[in-house]
Amino acid sequence: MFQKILIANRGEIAVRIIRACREMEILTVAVYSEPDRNSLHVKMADESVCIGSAAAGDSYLNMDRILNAALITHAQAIHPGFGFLSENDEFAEKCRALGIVFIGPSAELIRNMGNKSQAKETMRRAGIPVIEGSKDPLFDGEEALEQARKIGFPVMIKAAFGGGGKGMRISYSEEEFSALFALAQQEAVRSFGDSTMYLEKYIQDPRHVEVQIVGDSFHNVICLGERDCSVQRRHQKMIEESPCTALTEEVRTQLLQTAIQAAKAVGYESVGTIEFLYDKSGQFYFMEMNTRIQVEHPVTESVTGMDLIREQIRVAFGLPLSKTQEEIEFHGHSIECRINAEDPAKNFVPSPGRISYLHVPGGKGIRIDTAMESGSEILPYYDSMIIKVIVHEENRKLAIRKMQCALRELEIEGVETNKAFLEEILKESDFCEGKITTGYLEEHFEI
Amino acid sequence: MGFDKLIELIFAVNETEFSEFEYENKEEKIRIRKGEKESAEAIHVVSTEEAKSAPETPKICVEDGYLVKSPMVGIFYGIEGIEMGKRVEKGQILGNIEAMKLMNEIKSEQDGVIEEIFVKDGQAVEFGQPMFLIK
Repeated sequence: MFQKILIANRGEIAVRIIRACREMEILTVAVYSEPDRNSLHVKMADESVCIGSAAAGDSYLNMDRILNAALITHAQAIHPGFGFLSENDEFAEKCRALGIVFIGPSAELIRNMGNKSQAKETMRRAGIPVIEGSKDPLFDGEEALEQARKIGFPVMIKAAFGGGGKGMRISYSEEEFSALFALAQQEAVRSFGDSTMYLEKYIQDPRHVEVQIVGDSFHNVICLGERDCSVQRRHQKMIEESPCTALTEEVRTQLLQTAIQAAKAVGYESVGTIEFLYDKSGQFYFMEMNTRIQVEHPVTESVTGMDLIREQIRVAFGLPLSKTQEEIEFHGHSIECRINAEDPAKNFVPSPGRISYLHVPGGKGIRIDTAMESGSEILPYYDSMIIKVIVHEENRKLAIRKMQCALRELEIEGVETNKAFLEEILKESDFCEGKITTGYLEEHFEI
Repeated sequence: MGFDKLIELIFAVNETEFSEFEYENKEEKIRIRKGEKESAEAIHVVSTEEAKSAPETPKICVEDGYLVKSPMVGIFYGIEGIEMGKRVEKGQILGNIEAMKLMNEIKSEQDGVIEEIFVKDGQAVEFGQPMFLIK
């Protein structure tokens, strides 16, 4: 097994990875930006290296400094977490060139799945249902309009290298198309440095259902169930759960089998998530594949009992998957709430500052993933997600009840959070009845 | 440090007004910090660390003078002639940091005299690590 792993990330995911390494008796190296000097992941790691100043570009996105940190500490592998360099194929390639194991799929796989438009085409050829859309990359507004007419309105305009809801616009009619296309493309260039666009038929009120898969280097792929992540604000997930209670057994079986088929089609190794849109008629469509560990992985860990980070490290080392598909069992229902340092009353503006007091809930079936402690500074340079509260119960109704109790017990003083907003959602009747689509938050709350 | 001595140290620090105490020698580093709340966790022993390969940036108080800090992560290599008391000019090379087989020159941004050198030849350095004090 690896003797030493460097974690190229920060916050709660870095803590999560360090914990997994400790349990596997693997030494850990934390990297940090100057303002993160006293953060929990740095304190917990066996060694730490300062890699830059506050700005992510000068630290957590600085490939050379991170690679050098691995070299001077003799780390054999790098775990990139999520975000930052986790889906950067150039970084994965640089690791390989230096003889450092990148804990994730190959650079080639990251590249293939990173181009969203190309990934869709790959899946379509593998017989996976995809959302109807443009096949070739689009750069020109007039060409795009022709394609849009063929697909039929409403049409979703998307950036090929996009993510996080940026570079996306919905065009309901021909009249507004050209202006929206130009806007979306501009945004894409600014956010991702690339002007490649594509179009998709816009599916109204879908559910966002994603499937967790893990593959090893022996061509084994297992599926660890689905997650419903429809409760989103501007394409940022707020609540995730497993299983998706809207699926019939028949549809679930088909969905999970399709996911395995997709993973095998690309020869996937490591953990990955295949995102689907599930529409009102009971049809699901491949949307994109995420080639990294995801924020909401604890939900899957709860219902399957699998340790996804451990599995990811084992596979990266060259070991086979620890279980076969037949050995995977699904138990109960799990929900995760993301606590963000933001102010819902002020349009969810980030609320950095110092946590003067923190009390986290506990007890059976309650899991807290966080890097925060009383006195922690929430810095303005990074993501506003500070705590993940995960519950696991026998069924959805009990899980909701448990989450209400967990949030009630959770105390955070010193910064604004979305905790009260989440508590409102958990009381709302449509949510409790499972009537959720990606339009849920906009429809039920004034946001 | 043996366990008994460590306990003695903790109690000694607790008796003082200090909120934070740090001690370091070649083999180990101990940091003791008192919590703000009056509770059982008031004294928080951070860790006893053994010698590691990761760079350790010492706390340095600079009153005046210009502190040359590492702009990168790598291995520092000294240059002949650069020693304490030596007068240097702006733009003069003080040493090199090797990162992935490439040598990067570290140049002084000011004229002055090398008052202190904080790094040794072959030592691993991290971003922001103090290397020279020039006055």
